[in-house]
Amino acid sequence: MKISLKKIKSNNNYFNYHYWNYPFQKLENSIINSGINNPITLLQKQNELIVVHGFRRIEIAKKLNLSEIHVKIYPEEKSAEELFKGSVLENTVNTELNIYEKCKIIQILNIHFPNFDKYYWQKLLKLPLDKKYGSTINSILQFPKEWMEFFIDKNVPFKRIMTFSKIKEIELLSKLLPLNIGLNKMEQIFQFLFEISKRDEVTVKSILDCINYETILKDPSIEKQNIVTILYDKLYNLRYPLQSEYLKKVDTKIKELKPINNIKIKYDKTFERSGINFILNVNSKNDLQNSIEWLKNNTNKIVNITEKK
Amino acid sequence: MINPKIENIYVDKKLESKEICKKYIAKFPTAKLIIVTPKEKDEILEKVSRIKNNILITEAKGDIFKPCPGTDESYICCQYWVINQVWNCPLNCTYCILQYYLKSPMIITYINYEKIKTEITKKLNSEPKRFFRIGTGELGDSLVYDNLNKSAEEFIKYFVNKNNAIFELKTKSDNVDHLLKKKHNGKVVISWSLNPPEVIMNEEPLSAKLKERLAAVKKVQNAGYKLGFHFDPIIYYDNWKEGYSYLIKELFKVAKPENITWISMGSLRFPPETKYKIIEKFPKTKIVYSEMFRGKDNKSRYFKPLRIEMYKYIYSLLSKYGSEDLFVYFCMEDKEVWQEVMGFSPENNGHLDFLFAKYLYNKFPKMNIPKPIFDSYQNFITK
Repeated sequence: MKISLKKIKSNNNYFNYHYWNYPFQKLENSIINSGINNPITLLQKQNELIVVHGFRRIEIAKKLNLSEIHVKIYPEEKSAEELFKGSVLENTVNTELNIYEKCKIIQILNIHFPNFDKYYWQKLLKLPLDKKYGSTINSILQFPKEWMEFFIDKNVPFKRIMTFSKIKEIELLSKLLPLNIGLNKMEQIFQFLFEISKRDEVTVKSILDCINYETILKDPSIEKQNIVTILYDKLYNLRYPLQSEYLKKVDTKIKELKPINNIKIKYDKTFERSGINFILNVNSKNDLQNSIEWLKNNTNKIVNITEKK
Repeated sequence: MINPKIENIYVDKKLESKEICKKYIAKFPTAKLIIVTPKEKDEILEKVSRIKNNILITEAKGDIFKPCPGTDESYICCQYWVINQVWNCPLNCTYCILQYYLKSPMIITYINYEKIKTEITKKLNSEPKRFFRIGTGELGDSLVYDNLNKSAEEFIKYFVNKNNAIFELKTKSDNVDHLLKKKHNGKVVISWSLNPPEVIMNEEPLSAKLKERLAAVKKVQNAGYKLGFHFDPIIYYDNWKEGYSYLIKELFKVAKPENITWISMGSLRFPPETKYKIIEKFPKTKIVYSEMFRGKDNKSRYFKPLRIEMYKYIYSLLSKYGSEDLFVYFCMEDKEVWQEVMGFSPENNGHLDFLFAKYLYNKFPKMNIPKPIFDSYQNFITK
């Protein structure tokens, strides 16, 4: 049957889990060309018609000034949970729901159907539904728009988003987004911030102040691609102060050695494996003789590095 | 010590009439007693998820007496032998990997002692010239429920006449009163894992407080037992120097060095993935935020120079307040750490095993330990 669009209230969003910031041009074009083929699913609840499925189609219909819309109205007795399940299933047939939508579905289920079948939904949404993840789901739904788009764009899985959700002051870090940092590095930055704040019982804001975050971001003399490295290194030094101090000392000593071109010096930066590795690139007898000569001449300095590191 | 809450006591049907079951019921009157058939036992091991609140009293099928698994060959291990008679521990220490590592969802107590003793006898007889250090505290606390299990008593009786073995009960409890009058012939070491009071409060909250542990040390020492101490895991925190200094001073107000068999040192370490499980289970703990890196055995360990600094400091305190003649060893550390801290390193696991035997042979002549021969111990290398 068809009903007037006006009969469907626009604030009727109980079951709406869509992430609206994403364009749905394809659907719009299809409606322009062929109209709305699948009826909107509505649930009659007393005098109200509640939309269960078809939010995007309604939105497009309104945009296109359509007066009527094809609907299927279910009586109040019909299980709303079953209808909602049908709606989600239909949307997951051809497309993968994004993380916002998945979390929103969980929120809807928790509010309207608190006894929902956790096992079924966990499998359908591929999302852990233990109680302990409840706060993460709520945090994800609170993420600022720019971060939500970062996660959706990069298709970040739930477990990895957990690292980001631990930082309540996430909007302070929004200025990192235009720097096009990869997911791994971004995750590490968040991990460092979280761990430093826990260890030292300080706010993320104070850590960012400590590394001159704002100043570095604004400094015109620093090239964009170097900003991330500078910030990352500063955070690393704060997270691992002892190791950083040791690395600095050893690196200075290695630099002072001024190894010849065909000698590369490597060592275990965690210092778990002792010793320094000298890698000789030998292409000729001369190379070998020079390398041995260099090692002989620098014996004391080399021993000094290994002993004092 | 805080008594952990037990909700269910599962008992193997054929052990239903045993005294131990009655003792558990008396100790935990609100707990539900559930008698299970072998099939049901396997099912509950699959289903039950709350590790600490359930106990299963049963019989072991496989081998219970094994060499301590130790760690990667890059580290020196002491070739200790373990009786895995108790699985899991109710003490809930934040850092304890048992709660993440053991797949069994409850505390399991095996009470078919005769089978276990037969396994041990077979091994002891197969290498009569070797001196074995054997203990029950690897996969659980040796004494926390021992007044109910009486397993210590079973093993003490067994080891009394064994010349080539010494038996160790390792605990964080003060549950020793039931052992004080037992005949042990000096063949039993009761040892404590020790940490400063603030670490006990934050990371080992259900275990006995330091004062309680030291009071128990005094009792067993007076009862003639030998003593052992394990500074493991050593935890890094802001005032660690003050903490460990206080701990060691307090320890030697009670423990007499001449009664001490061995003292181990080992720093906090765990498989890297355990870090997230610890955060999840104990959100307030800070231990996982220290500077830790992957060791040669792939476990997260404190930054090596920090470990060395902590060991040196604690080692110097042990010498200063205890004695320079104590047998101090590392649990799972490499030769470099040994060398830096102690000024020497065992050549391999067999060498360390030999050093134990030699030290005990010289210090406790009444134990009638077979005279240790270095070369023989090279043949006893288990890894």
